[in-house]
Amino acid sequence: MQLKQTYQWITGLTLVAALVALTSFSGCGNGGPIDPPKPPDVAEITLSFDLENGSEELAFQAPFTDVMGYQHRLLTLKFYLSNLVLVKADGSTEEVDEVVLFDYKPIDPSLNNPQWTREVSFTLPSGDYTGIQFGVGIPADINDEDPTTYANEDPLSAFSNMYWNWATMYRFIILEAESDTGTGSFDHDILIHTGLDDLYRTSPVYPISLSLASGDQAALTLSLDWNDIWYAEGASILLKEEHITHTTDTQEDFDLASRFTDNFVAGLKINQE
Amino acid sequence: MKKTFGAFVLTSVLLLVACSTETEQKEDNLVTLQENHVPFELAIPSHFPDMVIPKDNPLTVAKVELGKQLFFDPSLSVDGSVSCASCHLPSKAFSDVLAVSQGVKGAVTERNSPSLMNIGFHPIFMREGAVPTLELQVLSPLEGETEMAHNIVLACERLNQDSTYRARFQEVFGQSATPFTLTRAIAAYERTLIGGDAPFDAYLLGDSTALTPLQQQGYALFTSDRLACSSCHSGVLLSSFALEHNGLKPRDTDPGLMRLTLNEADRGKFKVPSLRNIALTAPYMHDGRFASLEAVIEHYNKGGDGVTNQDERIRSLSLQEDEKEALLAFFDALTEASGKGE
Ligand code: HEC
Ligand code: HEC
Repeated sequence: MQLKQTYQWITGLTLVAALVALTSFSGCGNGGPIDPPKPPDVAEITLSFDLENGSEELAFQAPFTDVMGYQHRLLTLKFYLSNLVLVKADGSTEEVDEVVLFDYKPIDPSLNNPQWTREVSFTLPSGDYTGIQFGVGIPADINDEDPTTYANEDPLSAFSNMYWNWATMYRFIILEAESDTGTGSFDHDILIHTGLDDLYRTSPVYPISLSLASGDQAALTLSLDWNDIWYAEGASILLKEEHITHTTDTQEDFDLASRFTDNFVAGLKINQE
Repeated sequence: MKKTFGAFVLTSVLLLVACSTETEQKEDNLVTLQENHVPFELAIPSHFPDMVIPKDNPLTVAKVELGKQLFFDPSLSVDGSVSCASCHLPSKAFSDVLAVSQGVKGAVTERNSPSLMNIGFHPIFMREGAVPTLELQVLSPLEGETEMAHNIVLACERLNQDSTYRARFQEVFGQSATPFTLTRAIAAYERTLIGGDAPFDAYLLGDSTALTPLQQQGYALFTSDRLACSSCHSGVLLSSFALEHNGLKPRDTDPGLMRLTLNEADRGKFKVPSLRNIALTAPYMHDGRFASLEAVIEHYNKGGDGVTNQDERIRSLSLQEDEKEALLAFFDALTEASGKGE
């Protein structure tokens, strides 16, 4: 929600302007110059997401063969991170974004609608940072918000297509692919939609080491190995049979969504460049 | 962002007040906007409950009119073929004659379309009751694959290409069609679908001749401890709006409330429907499985399908023929003039 911050900033400015206007009523339109706000002391971090198959980065929709010998084409991968915080050397935290949405699909230049990407950036005060932590999904206190009250560009707007209309909640992770599990054609659909407050997960604190001066730019990568999602020790998913879930409907759907979520979150890694 | 938006409007107003010379033009606009905002006075019958109107969606005459136009406009669906009214027919108390409704390109929904008469009094929406407001409910048919199959932002873009709509939205909201304004307008119109003019209402208001003797017998049965219908279909709206199991064997594809809670004990539970205009809204139940009210009465008479989770109030009733007639006659007394599109 970069936008949210921008709005708050604009609102803040408007408030200041309004107060100035009110206190110096007669000066309206011909008052003396107002001191411009000091440029804030901030640095910028870019966080990009990579889906990998072993050591190679996965390209959207391009066929690849996983460690089980199944072939897949990735059609959709979108997910929310929320309450993104950076941990300072003294253990205190700095919230940098309330909600971000990653979409693995490359930008379609023919559309002039808001689109999300594999990359988000945010600003934060300069300083020394030793960790990063986030939630995967949307926390319960905002999961019941009304998407129509957000601007189109906001990841929580109806436009991000993450909203579950019938249940009035957000989906957390959407993964869709078509697969060849041994038949010789891509006739096996993978369709995983997760959601529900029960499947909100908080990541561990990933260690990083960033000393940011004002104006610095840093890059972090969030990576995930496709094989870790499905073939995790003790929680593997039998892709031949277990490949469709909307989380709700049946207990089996929930169990699959739950295992998928846990593997997904456990598989996430943070790399510092 | 919602909250900050409110603050933004407030500060803008303060600014307008403060800097009158510079912003005369803007102020004028503000005034015209307010003049157009004639409040819509809801005609709520004296024996009906109050209606809760969300703070962000006050009813105005122009907004209700715009909402009505949108409700009947098929251009809200992806291929321009289906409007809200396609499945919510005004002559059928805004329900559908099909067991399960049909959306764009003949796609079949999984459920029967409920009546929208008096919908503004409901505290929850949809048959598993997961939707808390009429505003949010609009998203469901608009984006549902088997209903209008559109995307709300694209639907708004299409509306904004139409100069008449653009002007109407501007007039009502001071902005173009957006997911926010579109859902507010339609919900505002839906809140005006108020009846309260059935013979049953006249009877409740003291006219003891408004119901025939047979209808009065039916009403007495309906509220009797023996039948206990009114323990679920309660109050003037004839619904508790709770999620209950009325003894229907659920279909595998629709576990009702359990879809939301994943709790086996909720399988087969559905929102208790209002029975107002029930004679107009065949077929019945969430999947339209009963074509007639006779069939519904038979279901309750035999004590339901005898399935797990069935409520204990659903038990064999051994109704006499005249008692069935009386119930049917009572149902006829629940028809509102406005439910027939009059
Ligand atoms: C394709 C048919 C179809 C269309 C088009 C359609 N609906 Fe519905 N409507 C239904 C069905 C079926 C249900 C029951 C859905 C459920 O419970 O899951 C329903 C339920 C509702 C409800 C909830 C009623 C209750 O008692 O809880 C409202 C309100 C509603 N529709 C309004 C609308 C509006 C507004 C539109 C247009 C934007 C619309 N509908 C378009 C079929 C349709
Ligand atoms: C335990 C609560 C309960 C009791 C008691 C009950 N009902 Fe119902 N009734 C329901 C529910 C829930 C539905 C909707 C089921 C569905 O959507 O499939 C319903 C549906 C109906 C419908 C169809 C409404 C429609 O629009 O499709 C009628 C008519 C009806 N009930 C009449 C009665 C009568 C008559 C009695 C007494 C003999 C009765 N009910 C007792 C809960 C109850």
